[in-house]
Amino acid sequence: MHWSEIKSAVAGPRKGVPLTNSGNKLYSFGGWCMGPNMTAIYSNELLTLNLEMPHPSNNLLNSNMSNLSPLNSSRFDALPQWFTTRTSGTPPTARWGHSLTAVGNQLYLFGGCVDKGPTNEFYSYDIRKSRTSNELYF
Amino acid sequence: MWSVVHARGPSPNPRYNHAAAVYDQYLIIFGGVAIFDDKNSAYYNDVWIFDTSK
Repeated sequence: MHWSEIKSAVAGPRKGVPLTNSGNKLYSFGGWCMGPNMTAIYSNELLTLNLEMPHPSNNLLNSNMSNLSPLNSSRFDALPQWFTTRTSGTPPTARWGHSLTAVGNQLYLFGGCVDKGPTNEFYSYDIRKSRTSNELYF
Repeated sequence: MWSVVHARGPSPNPRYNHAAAVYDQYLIIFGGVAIFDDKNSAYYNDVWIFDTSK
Protein backbone atom coordinates (compact mmCIF):
# COMPACT_ATOMS: atom_id res chain seq x y z
CA MET A 1 0.00 0.00 0.00
CA HIS A 2 1.27 3.46 -0.82
CA TRP A 3 0.20 7.04 -1.46
CA SER A 4 0.29 8.55 -4.95
CA GLU A 5 0.19 12.29 -5.41
CA ILE A 6 -2.10 13.57 -8.17
CA LYS A 7 0.39 16.13 -9.34
CA SER A 8 -1.87 17.63 -11.97
CA ALA A 9 -4.48 18.56 -9.35
CA VAL A 10 -3.33 22.00 -8.26
CA ALA A 11 -5.45 24.50 -6.33
CA GLY A 12 -4.41 27.28 -3.99
CA PRO A 13 -3.32 26.19 -0.49
CA ARG A 14 -6.25 26.08 1.97
CA LYS A 15 -7.43 24.58 5.23
CA GLY A 16 -10.80 23.91 6.84
CA VAL A 17 -12.02 22.61 3.51
CA PRO A 18 -14.35 19.62 3.06
CA LEU A 19 -14.14 17.04 0.30
CA THR A 20 -16.88 14.69 -0.83
CA ASN A 21 -17.50 12.44 -3.79
CA SER A 22 -20.44 11.74 -6.06
CA GLY A 23 -20.10 9.50 -9.08
CA ASN A 24 -16.60 9.84 -10.48
CA LYS A 25 -16.05 13.35 -9.19
CA LEU A 26 -14.74 14.93 -6.01
CA TYR A 27 -16.29 18.19 -4.82
CA SER A 28 -14.87 20.83 -2.52
CA PHE A 29 -16.14 24.23 -1.43
CA GLY A 30 -14.48 27.16 0.22
CA GLY A 31 -11.80 26.97 2.87
CA TRP A 32 -9.38 29.27 4.63
CA CYS A 33 -6.79 30.53 2.16
CA MET A 34 -3.74 32.70 2.61
CA GLY A 35 -4.08 35.92 0.66
CA PRO A 36 -1.61 38.74 -0.08
CA ASN A 37 0.46 39.93 2.91
CA MET A 38 -0.43 36.75 4.82
CA THR A 39 -4.01 37.86 5.31
CA ALA A 40 -6.70 35.21 5.62
CA ILE A 41 -9.22 34.92 2.80
CA TYR A 42 -12.32 32.77 2.98
CA SER A 43 -13.07 31.04 -0.30
CA ASN A 44 -16.46 30.66 -1.97
CA GLU A 45 -15.27 28.49 -4.85
CA LEU A 46 -16.86 25.19 -5.73
CA LEU A 47 -14.07 22.98 -7.04
CA THR A 48 -14.57 19.75 -8.98
CA LEU A 49 -11.96 17.06 -9.61
CA ASN A 50 -12.93 14.56 -12.29
CA LEU A 51 -11.43 11.16 -11.47
CA GLU A 52 -12.80 9.52 -14.59
CA MET A 53 -10.06 9.49 -17.17
CA PRO A 54 -9.80 8.48 -20.80
CA HIS A 55 -8.55 4.96 -21.31
CA PRO A 56 -4.86 4.96 -22.35
CA SER A 57 -5.74 3.22 -25.60
CA ASN A 58 -7.96 6.10 -26.67
CA ASN A 59 -6.78 9.11 -28.53
CA LEU A 60 -7.06 11.75 -25.79
CA LEU A 61 -7.99 14.47 -28.25
CA ASN A 62 -10.84 12.47 -29.73
CA SER A 63 -12.08 10.70 -26.63
CA ASN A 64 -15.76 11.06 -25.87
CA MET A 65 -17.67 10.31 -22.71
CA SER A 66 -18.60 6.77 -23.77
CA ASN A 67 -14.94 5.83 -24.02
CA LEU A 68 -14.04 6.82 -20.48
CA SER A 69 -12.82 4.19 -18.06
CA PRO A 70 -12.62 4.34 -14.26
CA LEU A 71 -9.63 5.70 -12.43
CA ASN A 72 -6.35 4.18 -13.54
CA SER A 73 -3.65 4.70 -10.93
CA SER A 74 -0.83 4.48 -13.47
CA ARG A 75 -2.08 7.75 -14.98
CA PHE A 76 -2.46 9.64 -11.70
CA ASP A 77 0.11 12.28 -12.56
CA ALA A 78 -1.28 12.92 -16.03
CA LEU A 79 -4.82 14.17 -16.15
CA PRO A 80 -7.07 15.01 -13.19
CA GLN A 81 -7.30 18.74 -12.61
CA TRP A 82 -9.47 20.99 -10.48
CA PHE A 83 -12.22 22.93 -12.18
CA THR A 84 -14.20 25.82 -10.78
CA THR A 85 -17.91 25.52 -11.41
CA ARG A 86 -20.05 28.50 -12.31
CA THR A 87 -22.93 28.06 -9.94
CA SER A 88 -26.43 29.47 -10.00
CA GLY A 89 -29.21 29.80 -7.43
CA THR A 90 -28.41 30.95 -3.89
CA PRO A 91 -24.74 30.05 -3.33
CA PRO A 92 -23.22 29.99 0.17
CA THR A 93 -20.98 32.88 1.12
CA ALA A 94 -17.26 32.34 1.63
CA ARG A 95 -16.47 30.13 4.64
CA TRP A 96 -14.18 27.53 6.18
CA GLY A 97 -14.60 24.68 8.65
CA HIS A 98 -17.99 23.68 7.17
CA SER A 99 -19.10 20.23 6.01
CA LEU A 100 -19.94 19.23 2.44
CA THR A 101 -21.52 15.83 1.88
CA ALA A 102 -22.92 14.19 -1.24
CA VAL A 103 -26.17 12.26 -1.00
CA GLY A 104 -26.87 10.91 -4.47
CA ASN A 105 -26.97 13.88 -6.83
CA GLN A 106 -27.21 16.48 -4.08
CA LEU A 107 -24.39 18.12 -2.13
CA TYR A 108 -25.30 19.32 1.37
CA LEU A 109 -23.30 22.11 2.97
CA PHE A 110 -23.74 22.85 6.66
CA GLY A 111 -22.30 25.48 8.96
CA GLY A 112 -18.75 26.74 9.00
CA CYS A 113 -17.14 30.04 9.89
CA VAL A 114 -18.29 33.06 7.88
CA ASP A 115 -17.39 36.72 8.42
CA LYS A 116 -19.53 36.92 11.56
CA GLY A 117 -18.27 33.64 13.05
CA PRO A 118 -19.84 30.19 13.21
CA THR A 119 -23.11 29.72 11.33
CA ASN A 120 -25.76 27.02 11.01
CA GLU A 121 -26.71 27.90 7.45
CA PHE A 122 -27.76 24.84 5.49
CA TYR A 123 -27.53 24.59 1.70
CA SER A 124 -28.09 21.99 -0.98
CA TYR A 125 -26.50 21.88 -4.43
CA ASP A 126 -28.07 19.96 -7.29
CA ILE A 127 -25.20 18.42 -9.25
CA ARG A 128 -27.44 17.66 -12.23
CA LYS A 129 -28.35 21.33 -12.53
CA SER A 130 -24.77 22.54 -12.49
CA ARG A 131 -23.65 24.39 -15.56
CA THR A 132 -21.34 22.51 -17.88
CA SER A 133 -19.15 25.57 -18.46
CA ASN A 134 -16.55 24.50 -15.97
CA GLU A 135 -13.29 26.39 -16.05
CA LEU A 136 -9.83 25.11 -15.23
CA TYR A 137 -8.85 26.38 -11.80
CA PHE A 138 -5.63 27.96 -13.00
CA MET B 1 -27.71 25.06 -8.55
CA TRP B 2 -27.51 26.12 -4.89
CA SER B 3 -30.59 26.28 -2.66
CA VAL B 4 -31.11 27.13 0.97
CA VAL B 5 -32.44 24.11 2.88
CA HIS B 6 -35.30 25.09 5.19
CA ALA B 7 -35.38 22.28 7.72
CA ARG B 8 -38.37 22.09 10.08
CA GLY B 9 -38.00 21.95 13.85
CA PRO B 10 -34.77 22.28 15.82
CA SER B 11 -31.44 22.40 14.02
CA PRO B 12 -27.79 22.20 15.11
CA ASN B 13 -26.34 25.32 16.68
CA PRO B 14 -23.89 27.41 14.63
CA ARG B 15 -20.55 25.62 14.46
CA TYR B 16 -17.41 24.98 12.43
CA ASN B 17 -14.83 22.19 12.16
CA HIS B 18 -17.53 19.55 12.60
CA ALA B 19 -17.64 16.26 10.70
CA ALA B 20 -20.36 15.00 8.39
CA ALA B 21 -21.06 11.64 6.80
CA VAL B 22 -23.75 9.89 4.79
CA TYR B 23 -25.61 6.71 5.72
CA ASP B 24 -28.21 5.70 3.12
CA GLN B 25 -30.33 8.83 2.68
CA TYR B 26 -29.31 10.27 6.04
CA LEU B 27 -26.87 13.14 6.48
CA ILE B 28 -25.18 12.93 9.88
CA ILE B 29 -23.30 15.75 11.61
CA PHE B 30 -21.02 15.33 14.63
CA GLY B 31 -19.21 17.72 16.91
CA GLY B 32 -17.56 20.99 15.99
CA VAL B 33 -16.74 24.27 17.69
CA ALA B 34 -18.91 27.24 18.66
CA ILE B 35 -17.77 30.74 19.62
CA PHE B 36 -19.92 32.68 22.09
CA ASP B 37 -17.75 35.78 22.54
CA ASP B 38 -14.09 36.77 22.49
CA LYS B 39 -13.19 34.51 25.40
CA ASN B 40 -15.76 31.72 25.33
CA SER B 41 -16.06 28.85 22.92
CA ALA B 42 -17.42 25.32 23.20
CA TYR B 43 -16.59 21.99 21.65
CA TYR B 44 -19.65 19.96 20.74
CA ASN B 45 -20.18 16.20 20.90
CA ASP B 46 -23.76 16.14 19.65
CA VAL B 47 -24.98 14.07 16.71
CA TRP B 48 -27.67 15.31 14.31
CA ILE B 49 -29.40 13.34 11.57
CA PHE B 50 -31.11 14.90 8.54
CA ASP B 51 -33.32 12.71 6.35
CA THR B 52 -32.78 13.94 2.78
CA SER B 53 -35.77 11.95 1.48
CA LYS B 54 -38.36 14.05 3.36
